[in-house]
Amino acid sequence: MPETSAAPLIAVRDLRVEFPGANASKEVLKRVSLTVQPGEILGLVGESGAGKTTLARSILGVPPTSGRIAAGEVIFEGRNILDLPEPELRKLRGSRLSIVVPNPRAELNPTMTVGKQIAAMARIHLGVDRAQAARMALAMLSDVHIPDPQRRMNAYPHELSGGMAQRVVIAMALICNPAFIISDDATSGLDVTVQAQILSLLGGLAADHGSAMLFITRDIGIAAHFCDRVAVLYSGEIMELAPREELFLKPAHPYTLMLLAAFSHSPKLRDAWRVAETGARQIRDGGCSYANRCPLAQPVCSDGRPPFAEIRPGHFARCHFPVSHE
Amino acid sequence: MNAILTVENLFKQFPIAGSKQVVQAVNDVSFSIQPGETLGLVGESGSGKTTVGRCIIGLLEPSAGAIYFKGRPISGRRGSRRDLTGKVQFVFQEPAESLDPRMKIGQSINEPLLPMKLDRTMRQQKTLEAIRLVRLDPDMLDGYPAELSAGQQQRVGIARAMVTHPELVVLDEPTSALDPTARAEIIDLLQRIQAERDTAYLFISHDLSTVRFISHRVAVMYLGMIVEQGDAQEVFNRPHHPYASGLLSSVLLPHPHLKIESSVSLKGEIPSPINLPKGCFLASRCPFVIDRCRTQMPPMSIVDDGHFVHCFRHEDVAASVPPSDTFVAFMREAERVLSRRTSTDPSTQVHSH
Repeated sequence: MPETSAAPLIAVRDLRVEFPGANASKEVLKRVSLTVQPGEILGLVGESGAGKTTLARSILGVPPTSGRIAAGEVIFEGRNILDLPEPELRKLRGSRLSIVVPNPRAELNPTMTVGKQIAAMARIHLGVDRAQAARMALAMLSDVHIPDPQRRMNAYPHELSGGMAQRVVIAMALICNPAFIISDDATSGLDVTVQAQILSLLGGLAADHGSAMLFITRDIGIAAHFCDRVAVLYSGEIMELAPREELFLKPAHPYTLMLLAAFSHSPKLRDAWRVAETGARQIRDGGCSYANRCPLAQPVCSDGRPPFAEIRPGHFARCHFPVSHE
Repeated sequence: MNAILTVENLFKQFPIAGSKQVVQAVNDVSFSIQPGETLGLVGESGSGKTTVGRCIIGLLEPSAGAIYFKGRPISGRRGSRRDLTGKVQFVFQEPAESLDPRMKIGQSINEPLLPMKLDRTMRQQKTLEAIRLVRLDPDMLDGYPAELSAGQQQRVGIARAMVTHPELVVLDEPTSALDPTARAEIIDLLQRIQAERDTAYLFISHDLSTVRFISHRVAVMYLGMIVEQGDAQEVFNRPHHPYASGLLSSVLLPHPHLKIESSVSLKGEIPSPINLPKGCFLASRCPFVIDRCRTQMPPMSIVDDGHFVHCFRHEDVAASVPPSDTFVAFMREAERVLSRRTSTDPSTQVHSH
């Protein structure tokens, strides 16, 4: 685990993203802050609607359609990405910063061979000539363990399996040797054996190139084995952030415990950490956003937003009554 | 005991348009399911597990082999599905896609009752019973699918399947599109219904963790074949087929120290089911491969009562790692970690409304 005192590679500070509505706008990210150290893999887990994809895209300066960055900054290599003019930003994306998304086929151009698509990244961002770009693309294809890479250079996306297409997307994301990679649920939809191969590939390449990663996933099993630190996102807020072992062995936020209980296969544990919907308290502005579902909630939880407090070194939780494992 | 469902030497091929080749989706699959039993059918995409399910519910006609419901054939020329109305039901993966968006929830749940010659009052009563069974508010019967969350939609899918009191339900990846909390609730629900009604389930899934806890027996498919079949706990604790072992080792349990040990790490991907190799289908990816595997299909070996495997070297595979019940170890760990509470005893907590 990298020292937290070292200068972070990327720092997200108080990021707020809103989706304008007819009457009031909906705050999808509520003052999210996080840092990723050079070479670190930070996991981000959460359920659908928590704001994971909005966060991933906002970090790259492209919030989802109709979303608006209301406040905050994303400091990368000394500059605030959110202030950069579009041409500057475009130069950064794909070269220093890149993203791997799920559903790889939709990301690839169906009318262009995969070799050309990978090479195009190198030509645009690194300014290398056609022959050099082709050589780099070929090397990258073999780095992502595509069998028979010479032949695959000339393949079209539809000729590839899902796992193969995902490897091509990873090759495109990594060819310029980015300092920071966001993986947005990149392994969902793949079979477990292919997922295992893609994870070891991503982890290995990130380590070889010294790249840092924000690894967004719905599967907390991946986070438990693959990430250095893990952040838990709920309703647009980071509820807990801790080194991997701490988070899984000493979870502090009741939402994290509820998530872990959902994977425990024990109805007894699940019942212990969730509140029946009919018994849910009303949620009030300014209170804890989990108060209405929290089995430990007290009156104070509906009134005041809990601080993001460091409960043990490097372990933060946004909760008035964090669970103690002492 | 008399099986609810028996599948015997099932084959299913799909022709490829403009070619003489065929896709061998299912190759000689046999199994049976007893009343009140869950058989987990696991395997990766392209293993043929969905095709097996579709043959059972009658969406596809098998190319060869037979399917029996309580001893009576329901496929092929001799088979008839006429008396089957309501007895075999199904739940699909995408709840939103399997419900008609323009139909009220009540109508959707009521629909499978229509061929059953019941009067309207009876149908309404059964619809109400079904929505209560899945613990949804009966007020939702007048709503539309779009008003519900994915988890609630899948509950409606289950109510729709259960409304006829089926004896067998084919569940094809019923939880894989759902968030973890919704998934856990659906699993609880299915287990509760089975305990109450003795319903048999064919649970098709690639989520091995869920399969381990919901299934009594498990069948592992690879390229259209069941390579290993047996008691779920036995197969998971001590797999005899290299593919079953490799598949299990890819499972990532949400615990940083628990990993399922295996001597097999599967490289590459499932080969095309168009030109199947001559010998064992796994030969090209298998670390236990010997010459014989490349030329000869391994016959079925009996490991134990009800535990079968297709592998020449199944004893070596089983002996390559010590048997261990990592899933149960994980559950114990979860109990240890999640049973700790704060000094604030929740039983004395004050509810503020």
